Amino acid sequence: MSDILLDVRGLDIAFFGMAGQRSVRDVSLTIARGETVSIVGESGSGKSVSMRAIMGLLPDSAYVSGSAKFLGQELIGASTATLRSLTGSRIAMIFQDPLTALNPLLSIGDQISEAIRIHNRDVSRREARERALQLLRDVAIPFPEKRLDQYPHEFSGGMRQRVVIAIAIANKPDLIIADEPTTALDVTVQAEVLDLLRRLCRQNGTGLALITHDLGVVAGMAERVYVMYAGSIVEAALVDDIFERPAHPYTRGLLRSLPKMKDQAKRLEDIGGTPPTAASLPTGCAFHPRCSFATDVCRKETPRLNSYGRSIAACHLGGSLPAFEKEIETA
Amino acid sequence: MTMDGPNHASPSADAKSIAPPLLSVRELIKDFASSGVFALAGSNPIRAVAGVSFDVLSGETLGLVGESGCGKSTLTRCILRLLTPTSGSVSLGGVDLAGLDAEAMRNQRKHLQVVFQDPYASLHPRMRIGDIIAEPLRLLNLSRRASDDRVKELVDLVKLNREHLERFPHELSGGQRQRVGIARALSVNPKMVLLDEPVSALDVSIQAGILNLLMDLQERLGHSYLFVAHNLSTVRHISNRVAVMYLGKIMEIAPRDQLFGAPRHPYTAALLSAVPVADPKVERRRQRIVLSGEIPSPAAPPSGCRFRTRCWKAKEVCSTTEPELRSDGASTFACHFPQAS
Ligand SMILES: Nc1ncnc2c1ncn2[C@@H]1O[C@H](COP(=O)(O)OP(=O)(O)OP(=O)(O)O)[C@@H](O)[C@H]1O
Ligand SMILES: Nc1ncnc2c1ncn2[C@@H]1O[C@H](COP(=O)(O)OP(=O)(O)OP(=O)(O)O)[C@@H](O)[C@H]1O
Ligand code: SF4
Ligand code: SF4
Ligand SMILES: [Mg+2]
Ligand SMILES: [Mg+2]
Repeated sequence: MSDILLDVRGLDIAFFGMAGQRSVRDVSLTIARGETVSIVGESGSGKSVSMRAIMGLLPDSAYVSGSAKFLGQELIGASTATLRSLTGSRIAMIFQDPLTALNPLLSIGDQISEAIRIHNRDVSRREARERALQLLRDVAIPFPEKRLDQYPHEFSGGMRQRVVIAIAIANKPDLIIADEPTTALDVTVQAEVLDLLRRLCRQNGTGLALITHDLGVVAGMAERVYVMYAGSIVEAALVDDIFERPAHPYTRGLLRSLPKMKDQAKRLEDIGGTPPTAASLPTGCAFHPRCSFATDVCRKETPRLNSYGRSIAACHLGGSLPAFEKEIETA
Repeated sequence: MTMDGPNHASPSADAKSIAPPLLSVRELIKDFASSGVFALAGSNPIRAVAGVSFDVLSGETLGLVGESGCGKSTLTRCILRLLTPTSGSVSLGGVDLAGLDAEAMRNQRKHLQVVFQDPYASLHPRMRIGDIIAEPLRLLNLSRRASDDRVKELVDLVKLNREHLERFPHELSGGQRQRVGIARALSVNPKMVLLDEPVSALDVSIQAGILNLLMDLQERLGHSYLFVAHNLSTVRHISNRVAVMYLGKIMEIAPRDQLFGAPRHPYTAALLSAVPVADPKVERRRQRIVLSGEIPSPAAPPSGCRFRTRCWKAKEVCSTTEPELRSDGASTFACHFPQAS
């Protein structure tokens, strides 16, 4: 099974001061070489925190347990030296906040060059600068020669995001974890950047974990999708199945909330109710106060992940939900 | 929340056409001094906003879309006077904001609020969420009690949890922070709200809830919005009219259905063709208009039409004569060879 790049098993995360309540509960997922996997789900459900935990990037107030193996090597609890040698070269992360990921005091060119040289000491400064230039070109930054000497505050939100992407792909990593990599980009530049990532994954066999709220991007990029709600994975499926026959009521709710490009209704259909926090987690199925299918057993027993056809989902009604009415436009 | 209570303040279509605009931007220009090699290569300033004019009516939502880096955030910062425009004017409810001193501008902030694009960078790292949301309420001189109540109401409205009030920004997820920014901006019931990518970090269900909330408030209280976003289906849902910017200028501005149904400017058409659709089968056979050619620098825009270096329809005249914004009755656009209507 050397094809599996990342193998996460039973990841649990709790923050100090949260009365021992876990913000992430029993998350398991895999990413194979060359595969693009999307992680979608509720805002605050633990997507970013899970990925940061794998990279050893959570603050000291976080307690992490479980296992995350990168090509067989355990990352949870690994030494800082081990993590540092992997991150940036073999595993790269594109963070959700592009502004905070860049050093405001260093020019863009220096930041990219440094990211290259830190892992390849034998690359000369001049060579690194040349490569930085090419990387800026790759992510469609206009006039890269001139932009190289500018500072982050002189870049627009979307340009900063592209710099972060350039840094992430600089060392041709095996695995890229991308947290909302294109939300600050207009749709034409977004399409270019996604094409670039897709090409990279195909050519170099890079695995891509793509966290995004844009279900259009998911549809265009992912082979498989994980859906998270309130700290847990509630569904995992092939991309076509997620959109055609979502097995979990939360996934269905998400799909129904999408604004339609054509004939928009006045009000959008949201799921209703408020997402829970780790401290206010409902009993039984965490989704039950907001689920229109909820029954007594949902209030008492936590559903486990089960297989339904090709998908897995954590729902007591799993197989017996009514067929999903697809309402997404098709043009 | 009822949709048609006694407070119903959204003007009828007729009233709209005669009522004076709430926000009026005229010939706005913003230059940044160039740095780095920009400075060496001739010292043309970066003209981030290159002469922009538009109105937002009372109770109206104007969507603003365009290329990343085309000047949308700079424009909003100029409206707020966080940046001083190089030239041009901005007036709110007939008051020219340029003429105001700090105290008078502070007074205007009751009516003019903003949700910034970068939710993390825009929240004070050492303030608790409750205090961050309550901050603009100081403009209203409310009692402590009234202010606390208002904060709780806002937290419920944006679907945060009251336990978040005691936390610091770094203890929230990206989308939770974004909702803090929205709650803060709405706290004082401002007449005009500038929303710079306000829902980009939210899952589609919470996004739907926030869009519904914004539209409900508009319906009840007559809020106006300038809604900046890259997600075109969101813009389409919430906007009455939409403006498309490219390299510091407005290329097209039209009523929503007009713009999405029959885009006249080639850049608008290219944008629409690239919108990702939430259906894997559609995505697999998508044909988008690929824009080739280098994106020009705002320090040295092309002669004539600024879109010509990437436009597949460009002809000789496009490089010599800049197309003026003109109206065909339905849309207003700047192009010599517009798309068929
Ligand atoms: N340092 C921290 N201390 C306490 N709680 C935290 C901390 N960081 C994150 N959390 C909480 O952990 C949960 C998961 O956060 P995370 O950032 O992973 O969400 P997310 O799924 O990435 O959401 P979004 O889509 O909004 O970015 C959230 O409820 C958040 O409030
Ligand atoms: N402080 C500054 N100094 C120099 N140049 C700047 C500064 N702020 C912005 N710019 C430049 O002005 C132009 C417009 O930037 P702005 O942030 O307004 O774009 P935007 O339309 O909001 O883009 P995005 O969609 O990516 O957020 C860009 O070329 C940017 O590099
Ligand atoms: S287990 Fe019950 S409450 Fe939970 S999603 Fe399934 S039907 Fe709804
Ligand atoms: S004026 Fe010419 S170059 Fe500009 S958008 Fe129209 S056709 Fe294209
Ligand atoms: Mg996140
Ligand atoms: Mg911006």
